[in-house]
Amino acid sequence: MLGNTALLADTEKQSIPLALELEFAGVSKSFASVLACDSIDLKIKGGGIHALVGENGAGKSTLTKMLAGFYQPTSGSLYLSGKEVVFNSAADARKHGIGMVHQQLALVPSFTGYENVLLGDERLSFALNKKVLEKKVAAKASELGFNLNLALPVSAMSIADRQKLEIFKLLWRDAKVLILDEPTSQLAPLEAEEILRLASDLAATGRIVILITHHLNEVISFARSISVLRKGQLVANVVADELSREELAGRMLEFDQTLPVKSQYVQSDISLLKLVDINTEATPGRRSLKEINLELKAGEVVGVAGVTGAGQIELAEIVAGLLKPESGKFYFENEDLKTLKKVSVGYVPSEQKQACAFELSLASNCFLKAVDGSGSFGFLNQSLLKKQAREIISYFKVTPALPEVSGQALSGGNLQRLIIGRELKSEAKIIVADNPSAGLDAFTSKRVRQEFAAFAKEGKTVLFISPDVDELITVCDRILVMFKGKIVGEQRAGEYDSQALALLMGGVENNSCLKMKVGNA
Amino acid sequence: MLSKAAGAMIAFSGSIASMLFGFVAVGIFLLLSGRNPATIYTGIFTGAFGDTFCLSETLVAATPIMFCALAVAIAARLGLMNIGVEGQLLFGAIGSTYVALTMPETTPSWLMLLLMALSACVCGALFALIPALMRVFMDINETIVSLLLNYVAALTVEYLIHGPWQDPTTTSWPQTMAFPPCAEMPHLEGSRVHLGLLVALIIGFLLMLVLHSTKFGFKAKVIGSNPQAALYAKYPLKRYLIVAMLLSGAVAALAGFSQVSAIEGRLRSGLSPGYGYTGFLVCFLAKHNPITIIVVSILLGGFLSGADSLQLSEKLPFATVNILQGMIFIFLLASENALKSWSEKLRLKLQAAEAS
Repeated sequence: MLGNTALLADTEKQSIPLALELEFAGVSKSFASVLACDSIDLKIKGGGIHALVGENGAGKSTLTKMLAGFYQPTSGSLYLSGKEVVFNSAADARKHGIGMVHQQLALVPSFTGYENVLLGDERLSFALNKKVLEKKVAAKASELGFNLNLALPVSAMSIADRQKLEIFKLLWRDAKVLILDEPTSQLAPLEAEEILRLASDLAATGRIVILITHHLNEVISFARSISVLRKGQLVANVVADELSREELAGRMLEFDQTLPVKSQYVQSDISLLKLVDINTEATPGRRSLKEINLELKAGEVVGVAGVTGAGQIELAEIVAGLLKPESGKFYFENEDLKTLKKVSVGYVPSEQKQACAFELSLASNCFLKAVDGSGSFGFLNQSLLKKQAREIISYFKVTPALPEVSGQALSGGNLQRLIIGRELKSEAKIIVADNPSAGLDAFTSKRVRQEFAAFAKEGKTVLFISPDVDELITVCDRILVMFKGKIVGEQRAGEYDSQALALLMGGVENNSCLKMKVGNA
Repeated sequence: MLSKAAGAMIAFSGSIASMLFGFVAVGIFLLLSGRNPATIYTGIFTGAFGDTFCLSETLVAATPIMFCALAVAIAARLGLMNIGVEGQLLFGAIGSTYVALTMPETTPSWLMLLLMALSACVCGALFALIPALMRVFMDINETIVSLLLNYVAALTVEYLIHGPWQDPTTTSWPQTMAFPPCAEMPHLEGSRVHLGLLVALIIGFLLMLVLHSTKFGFKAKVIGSNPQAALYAKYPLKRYLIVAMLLSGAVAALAGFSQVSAIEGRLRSGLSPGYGYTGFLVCFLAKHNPITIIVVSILLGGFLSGADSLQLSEKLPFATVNILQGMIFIFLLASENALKSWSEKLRLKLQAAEAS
């Protein structure tokens, strides 16, 4: 991958001017009465990754969406290489070589990689010669250092490959400015590293790469310059090399980022849920699970680590009572059950659209699950439900804190707060949380971990799924590792070894994974 | 917060604009064919709302439309497009006709009407069950199935009135025997306005209550908005979809029942000049809101009865009003997206103005 950088620099010099520079001059954006960006002055130069960090709702997405043409600034202007540019639409911005990869990927699952790259390319003529085009696409991909099997349909690609495909799609359209919105939030450490390495290679050729992220480590290892937004204002804009890690952390965020590793494992004897020899068959979009044995005990937070698609979603849905296994047994509080459908289990899925009806009000979303318990004779007890909704909204400070506002008015981070708050406040004794901190700022995700730990202390239990091992070892009493639908390892608090966990996540006998790890060190 | 009136105006701007556009577009055709649209539109209006007789005829036409539009709204709440209300109406008519023709003529009127209504509801619901089951268990689009079943229903009516149920006293008319007097719904003194209108109004208000204040209504709303979230919350999704289609079919069937009982007094072809489709349009113009549906039904019922009188005075074919309806629907569909961005901007502006 590093070898490609030199090659890239040679071939791309003509097409990308070295003086590529982007400037926000007094850019503001307000939505109704909310000021999302407050006169931002910012210059970004090509040649290295520029990281954009800040809490949920700090204005990162709004700022970049103005650059990508999705929003128009209320006041202020944008300059690209010294010339003022006005983007009335995303198509306008694309014409100027600006492309954005959204958090929710926009690929057609049933189309191949080639088809997704070519889809919507306005330069193509009416009559297509598929073979010639595919050859061109393949040539460009290998030239840019993308190691992708483009003949595969997207549905068969890993999340990391889809992410790469989205980036390549922009480059195929000659994008000079790439905006990556939290590209690694769904990825395991090794996959994340590969994407970021690719991004910095691309930046090294003179392109502007803007990385929106919540991971401090990514910023420190890969960014050349960093800007910090807080409540719509630019509070810091620094060159990464100028500061040490500690200084940087201090300047970037107002709070202590370092978290202690959980060091004690407390054995509990009260079994809440036991899964015995659970097997499931693969269905479209769901992989198979093999011989899952798992006991969740009162008082513990159990972590599940694994690369994306190792069976975490399927395990989560089994425990949440949404997926029916082919074979196996359940014991809830030592009682033999045929199905978990009737057991109340809190579930924070990895995809928000699974847990929210965006068009409905926040209040409706708050009592999505609690509706059966309220009121009698089939009627809703509106005042009780509204009261509960207000509690949930204030629990994690969801903004706007208006129960009657529609879910569409909320940012991804705020929706996540609502979902987590709702599940914690329900009567469930078990919560399954699949990557709950995705899209949350560092402060809130720390608070979420604390709340989950406190929840478990009340004699309940949390199944905490995350691709981020560092996050797991701060909160979990023990960590299970999944690989290809199986639980392949377990570590307990006090004996955590993140290196060993990372290897288990890649499948221990996988030699290439081992080599890569050694090569990186 | 945005004032309720302004919010409602924005929400219905698409409906109002598409009606105006519909009138303008049909007006152009009328001009081209050498007619004065102003005279004709005034004719429709006076024919619809001009005097008490016209008004009563408007209410008569509005009744089946109201039933059908409410039926569409029930299904639409769960995201189902039941365009088969026309067929369910006809099966309702078949169901009540069977009871009216087989029960003894001495049956007390209240019992006769009750049994006719029940039979209509069962027939309409079962006819709606076909697309419901195909949708839920085979994932086949309910819009297409229910639309095609409309033809099945119309031909079933034709078969019955030309065949087994044909009036034996006249072999030339494709219609059943006249119903006995006890099978006729009570009318408002001196007009054709009948009990069906009251039933439709009650169903409208009941539906409003169910959708807004009950657990069933809430869950239906969630299912219509995001079925994935409904599955996540462990709602019995399949059961709800089936129940909604059954209810939808039953309400549409009441339109057929009230037509044969109160207006026709027998089953014959041409029973419905497309009340089901008009109801579908009404439901979308009213944005699925039961109370608004009542108002819009009366308005479109007015078009129908107004155009009826134009047939005589202006020698204008009745199809003119069908064209008008079609145009309004086309503009309504076109406005959905075109107006969305505009109304969103306007809403934000108003909100900003009120906030400052």
